[in-house]
Amino acid sequence: MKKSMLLNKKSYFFLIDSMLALGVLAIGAFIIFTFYVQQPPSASADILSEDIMGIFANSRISDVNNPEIGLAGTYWSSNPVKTCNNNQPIIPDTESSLLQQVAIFYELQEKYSKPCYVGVIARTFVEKLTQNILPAQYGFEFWIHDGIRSNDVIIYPASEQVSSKALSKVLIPSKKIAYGILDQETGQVFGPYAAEVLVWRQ
Amino acid sequence: MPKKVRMNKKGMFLTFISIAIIAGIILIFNPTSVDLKKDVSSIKSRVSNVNDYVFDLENVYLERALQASGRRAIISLIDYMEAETEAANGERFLLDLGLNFESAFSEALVEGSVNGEPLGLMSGQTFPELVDDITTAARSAFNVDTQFSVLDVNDVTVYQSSPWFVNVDFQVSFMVTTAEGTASWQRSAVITTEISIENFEDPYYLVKTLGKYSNKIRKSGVGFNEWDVNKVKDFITDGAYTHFQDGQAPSFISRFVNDVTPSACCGIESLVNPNTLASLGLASDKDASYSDYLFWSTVEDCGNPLFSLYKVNSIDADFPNLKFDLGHLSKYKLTADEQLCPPPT
Repeated sequence: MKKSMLLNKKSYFFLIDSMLALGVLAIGAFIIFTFYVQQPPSASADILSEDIMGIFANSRISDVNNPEIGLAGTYWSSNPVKTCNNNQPIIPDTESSLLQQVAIFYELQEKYSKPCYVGVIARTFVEKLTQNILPAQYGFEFWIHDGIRSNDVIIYPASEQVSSKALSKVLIPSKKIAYGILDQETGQVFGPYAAEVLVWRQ
Repeated sequence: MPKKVRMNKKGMFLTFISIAIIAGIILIFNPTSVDLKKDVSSIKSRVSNVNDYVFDLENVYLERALQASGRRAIISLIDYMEAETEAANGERFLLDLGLNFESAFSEALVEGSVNGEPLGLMSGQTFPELVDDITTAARSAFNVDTQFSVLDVNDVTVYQSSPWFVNVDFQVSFMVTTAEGTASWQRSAVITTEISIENFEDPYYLVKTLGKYSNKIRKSGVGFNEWDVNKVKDFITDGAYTHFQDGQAPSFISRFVNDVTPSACCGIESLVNPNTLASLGLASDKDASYSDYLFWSTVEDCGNPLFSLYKVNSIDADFPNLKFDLGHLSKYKLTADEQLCPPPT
């Protein structure tokens, strides 16, 4: 009787001991796995930045299925466009990529000293192209760096988002050179300009 | 009993020691102290940007530069021939100036000159100069250095494989190195471009009329089996060009050297407008076929012409004196109303 009671007490100790050990293992595993779980915001910004630049560099206006800014879109013959373009609608170049088209608007701004080519037409073009692509929590800027005229121009949005960018942990740039033929008849070129897309998590 | 209690206390000590060891291991291997992922995105982005630049340089930018510079080189050669012709008041094709098309084109493209004479239109627009612009932009954008091997006139090949395009090949070698010198890309490639000949002045017209008759090359949309009288009239009015599969016309390149030998792949032809000739004070009534390459190359001899010449009344009404040879009557699906040369007996 006495011996069996002693044995029972021993088994209680073993039981408590094993539970303690299990607890230690569980807590250890939990701590280790939580250390390795990380939110990957920078990876998303990285992918988004390259994807947006990829869309601009590899797509043509004829590839854009948008009733406003597609090849026969309503925007190209709208009043803001005509007002800027000597009362003429704009016929986008079917052979140019979206990036080249933006650069052409910048070239026209510089050639004719008309800020509306960038401030109105290019900005609206970029805005409408990206409005359904980018999640709301991401910030986005589109720049053209003109090394020929030493001119850095923000295409979209209207002004640089300094404070939003300063608060961001990771800001991913994606760059391409925008270069092409402005006038097929004379062989006049535009660029080369460095086009830059900046994406960050706000 | 006291011995058992002592043993239990020992067990608890062992448990606490094991907890302490595990806690120590966790602290030692804590991954937050060294974050290897911290800069991966920005490094990946930089490498990706430079890699894309190298690809685009080889496949896009150099091709655009070659096309733009090539187009200007052709315009410059046409202007040069026109100026030389007008200055000499006599025909000056490239051949007359001691040049062939490829050597003249290559010199204009690479050095911006012909026979050593600078071409105004090529100033700052030669292929090496456009390539310099691209490498400067790349240095600023990607912080990379792009070094090309010498771009030489001997690296250029120019030819036609279709009627409406001039093909230009340029052999280039280049090396792209990051500013830090950590990575480099070496490429050797043939840059190929097609230059549309549409909207160029036809040099054959210009030189043959001593710079007076300017006819821009525009491709007719009429198919080989769609010709009729009205379409021929529009064709003459527009000064348009067509390509016949079995035609005997010279190519665009041949027109720079006064070579009217047939080009099976690339021959193009138009019909000379007698009204335009008359308005320019040029002889508008010739005993020759009014197909452009025959109009100025055949010797007039109505009694013994190279080809029999025919008149189509409905066309003659709008374009007086315009004559067709039998081959072109057939090609334009016209019916002759009268044989003019040799006069029917």
